[in-house]
Amino acid sequence: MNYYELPVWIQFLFTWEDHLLGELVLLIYLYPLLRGHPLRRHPKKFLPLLLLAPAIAAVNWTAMYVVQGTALMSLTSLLAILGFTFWAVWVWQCTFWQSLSAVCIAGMLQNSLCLTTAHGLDALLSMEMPEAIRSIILLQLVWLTLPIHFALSALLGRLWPDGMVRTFLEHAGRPRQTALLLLLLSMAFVQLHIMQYGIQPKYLPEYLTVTAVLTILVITLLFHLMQRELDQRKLQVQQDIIAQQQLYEQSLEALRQEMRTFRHDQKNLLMAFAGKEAGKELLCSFEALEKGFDQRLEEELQLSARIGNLCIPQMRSLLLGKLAQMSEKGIKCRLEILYPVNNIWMDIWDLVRCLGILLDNALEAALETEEPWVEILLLQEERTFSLRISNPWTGKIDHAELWKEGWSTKGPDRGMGLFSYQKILQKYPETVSSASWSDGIFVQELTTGGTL
Amino acid sequence: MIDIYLCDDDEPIRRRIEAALKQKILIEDYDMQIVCSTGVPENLLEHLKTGGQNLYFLDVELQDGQWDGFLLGREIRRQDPRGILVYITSYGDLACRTFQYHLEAFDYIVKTPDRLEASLSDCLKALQDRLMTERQAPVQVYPVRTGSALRYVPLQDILFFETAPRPHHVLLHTVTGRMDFLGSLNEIEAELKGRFLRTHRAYLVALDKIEAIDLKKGKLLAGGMECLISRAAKPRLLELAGQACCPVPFRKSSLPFRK
Repeated sequence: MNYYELPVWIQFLFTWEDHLLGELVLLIYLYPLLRGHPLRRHPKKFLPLLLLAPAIAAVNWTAMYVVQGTALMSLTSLLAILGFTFWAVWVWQCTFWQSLSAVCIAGMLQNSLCLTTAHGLDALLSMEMPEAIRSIILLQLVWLTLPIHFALSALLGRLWPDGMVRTFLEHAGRPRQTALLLLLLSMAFVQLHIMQYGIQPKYLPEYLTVTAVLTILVITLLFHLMQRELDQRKLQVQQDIIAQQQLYEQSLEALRQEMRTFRHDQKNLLMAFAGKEAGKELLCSFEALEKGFDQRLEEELQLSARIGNLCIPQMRSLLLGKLAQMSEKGIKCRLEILYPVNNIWMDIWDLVRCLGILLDNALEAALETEEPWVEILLLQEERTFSLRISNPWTGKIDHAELWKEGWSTKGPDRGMGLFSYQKILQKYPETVSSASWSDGIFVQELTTGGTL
Repeated sequence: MIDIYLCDDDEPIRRRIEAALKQKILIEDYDMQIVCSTGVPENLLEHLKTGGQNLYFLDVELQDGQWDGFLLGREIRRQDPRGILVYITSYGDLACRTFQYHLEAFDYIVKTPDRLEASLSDCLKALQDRLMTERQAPVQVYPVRTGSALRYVPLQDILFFETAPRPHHVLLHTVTGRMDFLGSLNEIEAELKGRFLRTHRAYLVALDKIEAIDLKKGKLLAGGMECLISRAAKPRLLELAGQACCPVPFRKSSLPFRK
């Protein structure tokens, strides 16, 4: 009995099952690629995936009358990838291209690994039986291989250092190109999958070996590419540290200069008072000078001590850059970091972006006042991290307009800042932000934390 | 009677503070007394009695196991939200704004040898003045927890509450700004019955802040910002607008809406 002689609805049912199984395996490989465990929190979000399988099975069924063979399989694979991508965008709240890249990598793994395990099962199933029954039994047996896929997925998650793929996907230089290339690769693997039907049985082991080797090659290659990307990131961080040291050196140099002038002044004063009997005045002048110097020294040292409390290099380099910018523009800056900051309960790059936006706003607004200053408070506590930036501002604020896209004190289409700030925060339901303005001081606050 | 708690692990300095406070209280005849003076934070927490008005003088640079000045202040705040915190430090103002903002510290006194007594005396005077004005004109406040900091927003400053795009978040619009916190409009409405009206599923508006109503468009204006009016809330709003408690320049339509 041939498979195609079975009743249509049974065939449909098995196509459905086949697709469902494929999607499950894809999900298993996709899970470690994206950040977080959204399905643990919202298990219901899994349900639409169950609909994807019959939808694609139905498309498969109807398209069968138009296209056939390899074209049909490519079409359904492409649809499955797209459907999965949109689902992942919805569940993981990531961008389309990130999601597409991840789904393509997972799809590739699913394709080649399902192929090898299925053929392995086929070889084990040595019983003689009609073709249709055999393929159906095989399909049921494939369910048993799910633990293997779980194990492989966990192994890959281990092999790839913590969050490497995620970081790569989130910060890839050209997300669209990366995603499209991965899609191409994934479609190539679909073609490889289709080729199994044209391979003569005696060459099947060779074919499977080639597939396995190709898969391993591709994974290794991806691994290396990502490693390189991450290395570059590390290099950047190192450069930041160097920049910080340079700033420190500069302040030391400034202190040395001051020391020199101080000694110079001292000499002058001594000379001026040498002739007179004004010991008391001399002492007073000395004290005043020393006090001023001590204060400067203390301020410099305190600033570097406070910066030292910030243990996140990315944030530190941003802050250092902004501090340099402020001193250049003559803005007084007050920075308070009471405790070491090393946990911010948010993606570091997202927080860096937020901090950048808030600081830019504060800088710009402060510059419009006569005595510009900016105050930055960072405080990490047991379960929260909070950030408070305040600056003087004399202009008028229309609260209603403040949070709309493109609002700025400088006129329309300049202040994309606050709007994208709000957009970033949308990703983090636990964060709390506020902006207020009273007595000529504009205050921006942001609190992130696990439990509020 | 205001109870004063004092915690500083530098024994001679603490004696000086104690003496200065006692002298000032005696001279000015303030209604205050020192009930606890210790160098060990645990002692202070053991003796802590909340209920009345307390005043705490705490050393910033406390070094005692798990406690430092900030954490002790945090714990006191937790037990006694209304307490008044004054910090004493020997190292300038390394983090004074953090204390001021996160713990609502009332004052921050630097231990300069020649100015300590004078600073303490000024601080007590300022405190007494503030307590007097507060007693004369008590301000009604609404407590808002933004992250770890609890803030008190004067009711008279509140324009309206609005549900935020993010779930469980509420936006509080005040005369001076906007705050985002976790909460629900239903709970806030129950808490603030009377002065506020739920004009829409997503809006809880202060009645005395309504500037204009446009029934045709289903919107009202509070503090220059638009709020929505639901069909169900219209009759109640009209009824209140008719009463004196809500002096709204009310016209049926075509109000000068800024766009």
